[in-house]
Amino acid sequence: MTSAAPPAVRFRAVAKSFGPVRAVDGVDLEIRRGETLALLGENGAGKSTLVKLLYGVHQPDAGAIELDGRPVVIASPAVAIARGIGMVFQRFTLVPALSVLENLLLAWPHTRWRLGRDHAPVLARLAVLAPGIDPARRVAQLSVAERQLVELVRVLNMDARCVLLDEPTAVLTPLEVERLYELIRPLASQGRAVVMITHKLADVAACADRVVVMRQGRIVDEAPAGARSDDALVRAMIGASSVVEEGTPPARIGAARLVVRGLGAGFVRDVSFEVCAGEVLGVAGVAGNGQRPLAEVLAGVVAPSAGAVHLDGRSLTRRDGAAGLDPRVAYIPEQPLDNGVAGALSATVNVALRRLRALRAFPDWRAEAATARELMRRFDVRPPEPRLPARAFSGGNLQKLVLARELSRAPDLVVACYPTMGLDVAATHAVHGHLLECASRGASVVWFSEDLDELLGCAHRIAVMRDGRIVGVLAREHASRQALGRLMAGSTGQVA
Amino acid sequence: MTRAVLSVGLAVLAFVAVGAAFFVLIGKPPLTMLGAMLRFGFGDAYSVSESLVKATPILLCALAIIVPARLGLLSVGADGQLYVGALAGTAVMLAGAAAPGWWLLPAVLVTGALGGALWGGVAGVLKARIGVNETISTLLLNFIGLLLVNHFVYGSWRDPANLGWPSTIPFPPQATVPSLLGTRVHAGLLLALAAVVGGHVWLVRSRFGVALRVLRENRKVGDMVGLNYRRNVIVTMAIGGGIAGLAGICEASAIQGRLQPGLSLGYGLTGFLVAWLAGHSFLGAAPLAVLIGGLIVAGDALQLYAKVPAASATILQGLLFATALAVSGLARRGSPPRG
Repeated sequence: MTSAAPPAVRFRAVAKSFGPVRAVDGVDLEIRRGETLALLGENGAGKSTLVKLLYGVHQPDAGAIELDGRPVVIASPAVAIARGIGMVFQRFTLVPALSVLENLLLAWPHTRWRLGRDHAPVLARLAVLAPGIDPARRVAQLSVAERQLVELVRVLNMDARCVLLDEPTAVLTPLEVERLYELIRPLASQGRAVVMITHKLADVAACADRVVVMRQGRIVDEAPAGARSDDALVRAMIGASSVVEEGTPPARIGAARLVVRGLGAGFVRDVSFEVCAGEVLGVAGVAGNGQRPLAEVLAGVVAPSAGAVHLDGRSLTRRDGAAGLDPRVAYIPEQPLDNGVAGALSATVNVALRRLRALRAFPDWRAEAATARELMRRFDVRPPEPRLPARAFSGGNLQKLVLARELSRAPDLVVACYPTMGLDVAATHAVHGHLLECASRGASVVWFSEDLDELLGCAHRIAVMRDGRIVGVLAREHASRQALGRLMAGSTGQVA
Repeated sequence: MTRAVLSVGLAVLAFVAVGAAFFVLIGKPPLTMLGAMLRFGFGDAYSVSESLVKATPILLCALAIIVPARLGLLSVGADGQLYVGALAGTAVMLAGAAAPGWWLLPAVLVTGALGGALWGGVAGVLKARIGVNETISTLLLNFIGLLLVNHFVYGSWRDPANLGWPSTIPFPPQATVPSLLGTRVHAGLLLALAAVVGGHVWLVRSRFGVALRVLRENRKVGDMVGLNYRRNVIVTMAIGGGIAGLAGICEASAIQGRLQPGLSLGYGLTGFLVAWLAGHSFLGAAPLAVLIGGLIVAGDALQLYAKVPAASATILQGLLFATALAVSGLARRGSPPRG
């Protein structure tokens, strides 16, 4: 590439607002061929919006986008794809009812009207990235992380010359992340332009050639990777506010509150454990090893097929036709937009949801909005505007909205599923703080996570799930990444 | 809001253009014809009153579709509910015709609403208990409702004084929905308007209305917070049916004066389209129903005075719906994406 050639993509003073929110506020940026650009920033900093402008999901209010030096209008994702721009979303775009292979064939650029018999080229990247995924399985049966991998393979298969990755490592296990890095690095060296939205400094260190930091819709720092210390990047991301100290679990633990005996649900079998007052039990494991069914049974979303769950001696087991979750339980589901909120309804309604049945026939919505606004401030949901529909919030703020609803009710048991998935540094600290505060008030916390560092930092004990069973429980003092990795992978697998 | 006004304006313009093209096609002067339509529909007190007469059952049927639609249900059963409502109310009228009590009219109306609620509730129970698609079941129940009415008016309820004409005895004065200001407009319109205002507040502000929206948006979350989808399916289908039943008994009592075949002139389907065009809003349905009522009256008048083919009114109605749906679809495309 000669220095005279225009960059693959150039944003010129691009701006985009959603109502009163200036998501992207006058951004000038070059994306160059043969380079991996890391776009760093907190949740709601405008990274995703900026990239979606390039992918044709949104249209800029002002400014221009140039491809190879020529200004273009990218009216829709179809236009973007035709111009060689591929994007992997945080929210997935696979067809759940189709198999992995069928989904990949749908997007395979060389597919003719009849699906060919030789699927090897279609599946080549899948075999590298996720050898454990059977191409014949339906996407609906895959875990979040597995879907992410398939999504990624699909876009890589399109041979896009500009690849946009929206938080690609957010939901992956360490082993999968390593494999992903192996796939991303060659993309740039093959001459593609790669943009990776992330808030993980590890991603920057592993893949990026250049790093751009966004805050409140603007670019606040831009440098070659390695030219900035981690501290400097974090400061640029979160601005003047200081980094929160990592929380530690409360020292005092009381008597057993949550007692699980012989629990079965789906392919989860014979799970028994206890969690004491003030205790945080971490649950680790590769995605799809039974975490979701276990969490749903503990929270009371579904009835178990065997066994029992008791909290303070009273059964938590869901009876058929029961009126919703037990009021003593706070449930933070994975993928809050799908499982935790009604997306088109206002934040006010979503914050009031758990109390909805207890409200008057004609609730005082103004008072509810005031309550919601207060809670949104306390849990740092941005913007703290209760009339916005839930789906208007970015991933991290939506998660904080769910936390505000669930944790503000002083629960006795907290079931949290990947509560910091896709969240930035500051939001992650805030979530840790809220969960640990619940524990220090005496609640039992069951915390599902794939971030081992998070569990090692916050949990008293860490249980590891594999193939629907708990294969080991390690006390905090005895736990390490290596020990957990061995349990997660099992005797036949590799150590993460 | 401005966008809504703009899109209604655009829809009217588009309809005028397409309507003019239609008149050119059938060899009539388009501007004269469109002017005549406006005059026949809304030109004087009589036209307005006739338009309102037609608008009343259409509006009630639209409301009957909207209530289950707030839960995401696609009912097309307003016609059948209208017929069964009329049937149930008429049964009470026949039983009490000899008694001169003031209570007969309220009893007739309430029973009419209950009959419609029963018919809607049947589809609701089928959906909630055994998962029968509500669109299919309401569609088929329409035929059953219509034929049930035929069965009775051709059979045991036929008034012998009619010399073979299939209809019941006339509604006695104490069972007749009163007319307003000496026109054919009847108190059913007041009931419909009260339902529009009350129902709007109820669907938008009440806990129940919000619960319906939560369930429509995300049934899993609704279940988590203790909302009962199945029960709400039955409740909304029954309430919708009740409203359509009211349309039926008012039509029989005030307009036809007796129960006879051909009670509904496609009011259920027209109401369905009005509900759709109104974006499933009670407030939006009222002006649209009046507009459609006027169009029907104008179409009938044109047929009489301007010698246009009998199908013209139906064609114009179809053109109106098609242009309005196209314009609202275009307006949606131009609006900012969600997310």
